[in-house]
Amino acid sequence: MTGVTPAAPFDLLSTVEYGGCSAKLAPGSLAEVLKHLALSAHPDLLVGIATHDDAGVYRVDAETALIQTLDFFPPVCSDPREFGRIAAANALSDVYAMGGRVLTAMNIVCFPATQIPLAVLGEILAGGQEKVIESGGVMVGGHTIDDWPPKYGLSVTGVVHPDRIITNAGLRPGLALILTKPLGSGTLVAGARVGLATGCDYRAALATMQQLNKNGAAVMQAFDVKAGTDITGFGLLGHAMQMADASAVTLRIQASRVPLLGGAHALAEQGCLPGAMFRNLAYVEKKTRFAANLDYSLKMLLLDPQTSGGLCFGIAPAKAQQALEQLHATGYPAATIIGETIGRRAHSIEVIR
Amino acid sequence: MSNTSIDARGQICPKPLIMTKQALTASAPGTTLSVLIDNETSCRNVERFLADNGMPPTVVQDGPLFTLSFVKNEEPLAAPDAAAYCVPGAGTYVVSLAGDTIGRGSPELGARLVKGLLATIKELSPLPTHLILYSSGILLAVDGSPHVEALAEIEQMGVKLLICGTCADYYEKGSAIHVGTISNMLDILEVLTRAGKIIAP
Repeated sequence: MTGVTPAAPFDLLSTVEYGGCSAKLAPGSLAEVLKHLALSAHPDLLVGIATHDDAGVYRVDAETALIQTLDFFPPVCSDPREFGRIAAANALSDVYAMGGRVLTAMNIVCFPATQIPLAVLGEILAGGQEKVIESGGVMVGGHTIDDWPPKYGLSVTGVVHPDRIITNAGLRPGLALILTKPLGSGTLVAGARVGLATGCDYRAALATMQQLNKNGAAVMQAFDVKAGTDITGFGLLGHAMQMADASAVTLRIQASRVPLLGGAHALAEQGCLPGAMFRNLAYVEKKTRFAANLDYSLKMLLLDPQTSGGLCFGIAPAKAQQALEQLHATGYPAATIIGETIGRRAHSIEVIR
Repeated sequence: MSNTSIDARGQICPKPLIMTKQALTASAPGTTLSVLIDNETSCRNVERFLADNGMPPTVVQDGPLFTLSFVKNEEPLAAPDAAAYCVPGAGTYVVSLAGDTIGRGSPELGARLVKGLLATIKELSPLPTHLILYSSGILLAVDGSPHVEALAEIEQMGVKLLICGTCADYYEKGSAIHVGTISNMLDILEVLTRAGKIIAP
């Protein structure tokens, strides 16, 4: 024994100002660049980038379509194992949002060779591995770049039957909208960074970010859902707008029904509004009609950037209650109906109180 | 009136906004506040927050440093679109239609009267602030109704067309509403209580 005292655990958050999906390029900036690129077209490309979907889908044969996606970002929390789990759950989620199941995953790693103990990388990868195993997939490799600050995520391949793909574009009027996880993780992460979030609330946010959308995807498929997405960096309203536009319907969201993580509203009331909320507000406001006198903090929480957020999907109202019961029974106690789809109006989204 | 300065230099987002909100909460209405920020994104976010809450600041940039100055308003952090509400009284009125016909005579006559009413509203000066449709009145606004065009014209002239959501659901027309905004009891009651007059033909 050397008698050396173990170093204090490395705090990953000390490496970043912005983390998680907050690190995304502004959606408007991305659209500006993408509009100059010719869209790839191929008879077997079933879902491309035109509808802002979560993953690309390519038909291999009549029975099988391949889902391909990747996602990676800088740390959203201090603990490397938890960061690994969250980044992996977030990347795997894109397969679930398309209604698929996971086949294989590869690590995407940016990590400085010298400034952070290598054991931290080991923990990140172990956290990612846990989630890939939980997904039923296989980890098949990866790629590592020497870079600061660290970033981690996965490239994921999944499969889905070509007739069972769940996309942004499949909504029609008259559906109930279900959200499976509470909002507010971006606010709680920001609140924890400035010392305002309570430990208990912050732990709950970390737990929901580590949770896979696997069971939620199973419920979507069991109830023959055609349209859905996962809620990530653009916030509920950003992703809702993408679905509304891709489907040519209007989404009516009742703000008071949207589930929130404990402590998120109190933090917003204190002015703890992550910068990405304002970015997302700029993204959606021209196409959103907000109710008069909507609570300001609640409005902003509908724009809270989520990391590894829940699924939001449209379902026939007659089936909604039963789907909710299954979601509640399979790990999503906050799942609830947050609104409905209506015929297309001038606005993509109506937010009512 | 007193002045308060907030030095948010060197603070990471969203700390400058939190400090601004703290200072606002602690200040009396009429207080002049100024916030020093050295990050443009943070500055824009605080500026937007204040504008949304009825206190648009003046922003002075000096190199990398931004100074936002504003006066705390009387009704602190009022809802952003409260101004969109009409002031009670003085000449404003709302037209409220509780059926797809007018009066208790023959339905055919009642339908003709509705048509006449919608055509006449467009000629009124001033226009009503709102046209509210509830009960079977919502049927005027659904796909296939002969009145959709007239309603759309009225809406385009700046009259807010509110449709009772509960009624639309009752008639299972929620997805067939072609014009107007689906609203709820609370919003509709607020409009009615703020109206100078309510016309219910």
